[in-house]
Amino acid sequence: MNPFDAFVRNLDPATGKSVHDASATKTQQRIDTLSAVFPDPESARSAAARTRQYVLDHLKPLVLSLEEQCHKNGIVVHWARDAKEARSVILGLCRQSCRPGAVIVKAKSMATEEIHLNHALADAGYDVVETDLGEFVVQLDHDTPSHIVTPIIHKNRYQVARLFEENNIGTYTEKPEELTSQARRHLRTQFRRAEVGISGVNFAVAETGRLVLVENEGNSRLSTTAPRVHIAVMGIEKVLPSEADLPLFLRLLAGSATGQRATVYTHFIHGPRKPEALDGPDEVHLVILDNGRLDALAGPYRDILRCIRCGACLNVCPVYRQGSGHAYGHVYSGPLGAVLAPALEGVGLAAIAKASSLCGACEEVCPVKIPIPELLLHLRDQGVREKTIVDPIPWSGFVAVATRAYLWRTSLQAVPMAKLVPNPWSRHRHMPRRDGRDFRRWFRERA
Amino acid sequence: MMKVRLMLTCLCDAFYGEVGIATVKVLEHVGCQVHFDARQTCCGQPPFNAGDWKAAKQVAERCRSLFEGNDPVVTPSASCAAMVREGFKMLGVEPEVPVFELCQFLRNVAHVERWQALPNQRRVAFHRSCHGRMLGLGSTQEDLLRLVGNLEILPLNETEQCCGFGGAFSVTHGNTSKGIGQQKLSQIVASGATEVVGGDMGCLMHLQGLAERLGVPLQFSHVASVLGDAL
Amino acid sequence: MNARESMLSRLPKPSQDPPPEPFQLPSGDLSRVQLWSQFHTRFSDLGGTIVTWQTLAGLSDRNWIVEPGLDVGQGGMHVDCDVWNASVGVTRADLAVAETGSLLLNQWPFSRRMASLAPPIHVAVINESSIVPTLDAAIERLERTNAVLVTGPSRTADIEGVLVRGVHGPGELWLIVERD
Ligand code: SF4
Repeated sequence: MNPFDAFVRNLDPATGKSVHDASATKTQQRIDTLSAVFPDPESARSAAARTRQYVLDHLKPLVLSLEEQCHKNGIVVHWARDAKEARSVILGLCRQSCRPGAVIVKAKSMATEEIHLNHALADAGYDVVETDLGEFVVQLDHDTPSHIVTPIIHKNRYQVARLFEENNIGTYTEKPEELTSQARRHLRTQFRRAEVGISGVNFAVAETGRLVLVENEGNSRLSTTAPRVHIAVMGIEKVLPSEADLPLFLRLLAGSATGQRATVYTHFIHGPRKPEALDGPDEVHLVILDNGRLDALAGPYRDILRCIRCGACLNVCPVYRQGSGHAYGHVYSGPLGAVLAPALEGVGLAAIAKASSLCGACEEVCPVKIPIPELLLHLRDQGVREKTIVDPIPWSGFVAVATRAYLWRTSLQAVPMAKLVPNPWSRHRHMPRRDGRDFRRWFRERA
Repeated sequence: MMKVRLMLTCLCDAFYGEVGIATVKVLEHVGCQVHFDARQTCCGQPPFNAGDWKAAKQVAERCRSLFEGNDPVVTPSASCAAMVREGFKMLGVEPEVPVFELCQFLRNVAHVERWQALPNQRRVAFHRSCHGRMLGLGSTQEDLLRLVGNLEILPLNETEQCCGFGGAFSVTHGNTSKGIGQQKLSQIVASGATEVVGGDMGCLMHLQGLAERLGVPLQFSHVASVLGDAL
Repeated sequence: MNARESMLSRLPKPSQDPPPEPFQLPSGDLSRVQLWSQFHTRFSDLGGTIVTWQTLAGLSDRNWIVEPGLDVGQGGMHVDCDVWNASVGVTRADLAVAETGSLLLNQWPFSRRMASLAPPIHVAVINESSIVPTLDAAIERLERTNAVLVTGPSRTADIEGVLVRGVHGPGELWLIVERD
């Protein structure tokens, strides 16, 4: 059995239920919001797809413009080819700013998950603290996020409560409000002590060098405002051409991700504090990350780089709902992850593309219209050609039968006999029965 | 009289002959002359979805050449129609075959606007198959069924959710497939229906096998059979 | 080659196509009163409250942090303290957005970003004329400063999807609308 299906089989029912219920709710909220916000959501998605495609086709001038504008605004730009380089750039910046032992607060960011930053910082002696409630729980539990937007979709309140109790965050309570305020109290002391704040970036505007971050809790604002140094990490593809593109993307992201018209905080970062300002970081750094993106850009899966990480495809995906993000074995999960992981890291990971019934619900909800099922099919093809996907039974036998009419008819006669032997179908279901007349005979005889 | 060519599909060939028969009856009722080429086998979707495109292409090429020509090809399966329309393109199997899913043909080509009533009242849930998405079917199949008297289509939640069949996926990812199917069955049961109607025998075969294994008392019928029963 | 050059060298040469026209929602032709009424609906649905200066008088015993240059008057309730210990933060808001019920806060010289963020209650003060219909209009008016668009009180639904207000940012968002 493949690891995905084995994971699904072993998943405890409570987790399965948490994931399913939350995903189904988010899916409905998405539909309700987008249809209330846009007179024609379809045209909004098409426009967003066009803009993101334009970005991929013009990445070079856009990124150069971003760099230049950031520079003007006082944001220091760094480049990193891979995870290792990104970690060392960030670690270097931290070392310049504070001594080991210092607190570094982190706002939720998939890019930093992707480069496994926390371990590197912790190994260097820093006290790294995830501040998004979900990410905080994940960190405390030595777990990993199971969803790119809602990291603890796989956990329920009892699990969180026990975890907080064990870690002296607060006394056991089953009230989400109280659990939240326990985390708030604990994390506020961390924010006050923090010397560096690290975040991701949702959109970076090439025209003006503005970094846009969205969030609901306020931890991202605190992480990028309270400490003396702010380091933002972004995948190189996260650029948008102009400020005028922002409203569409902000609406689509908030609507698709969490069913909101706008996230609670949309943070427009223009640069470090001006001399007369009373607060804000003295330094803002932007780390532009490749880590497989430029390979993906040049390859057959480049469309996946249009992604704005809304998570709608995860929420709607029946396969994701069965397994949670953990079943995918990668930071990026769900339909998005099944394409992005191999697109970034190579066709060695193509087998994950098999974890899909190809139902196409993902493409239907994707705000930038990424043809995910088609990309999954291409990945399967490449995986088979390059032998990173090996089917237990080769298809050559099937071809031999399906290209010869007489063999085909004889084999069909034998199909119902399959029920006599145990087979993977009948492990979960009754075998189909021949129902009524045989079509071929009927057609022959009526003629 | 319009000449159409029937693409039977492997499932109707192997198990569900009555669906093929009903399809012929329905097509003849709307004035078509139905041709069936007995040399037909499979469209190549199983190896295509599995990623063995070399194998898929051989089967698809044969299928395409068998259905060469301009007369519409009609098939009681959105899945096979999507393979022939979209999958062939991806495989580079050309030129195009003028293929239609049965309801799509009835509505958009034969312009069916009314239908007979069923002899007895039936209350059903309609399962949209996912391949209908790729064909842009939308509500075509339900719209057609709404023309049938004595047929009540009960509202079903989460219609965008797959049944979990997915062809070979149902055996390579059996536990996942089963889990998804169970969700679908529970939505169907919640709708109050005792019968499920769908346009793809793949979905129905999987759901039926699962319902029988789990002891959920439900009937499963193909759209063609429902339309045929009303004639 | 350093990282920058090697990454840039791998980016393909772009075509000359012009960028697609930015998508805009029709802004409609609502009057100012209608815009405020739409704002009010959205703002209160999100959990925001429209208050008056009198409401604030009831909080005169709390620790306040007030954005410099903002006159809170009302005799002696202005207690400037460490922002982390403040219960109430008062700031200006530059724009209200009817479409989303949001407030745009620009960071002007001498403004204090933390005042709208750290205290559990954030009170924003806005001019009645400072309302725009859509996000498009609000973003058009972004200045070359840091800014934040605040849409309701801080919230999370991380635990079982249950909505909880006041995670790290203020759990209470109050708005005072002043006649120009
Ligand atoms: S692939 Fe599309 S739906 Fe999925 S996360 Fe990315 S943008 Fe959202």
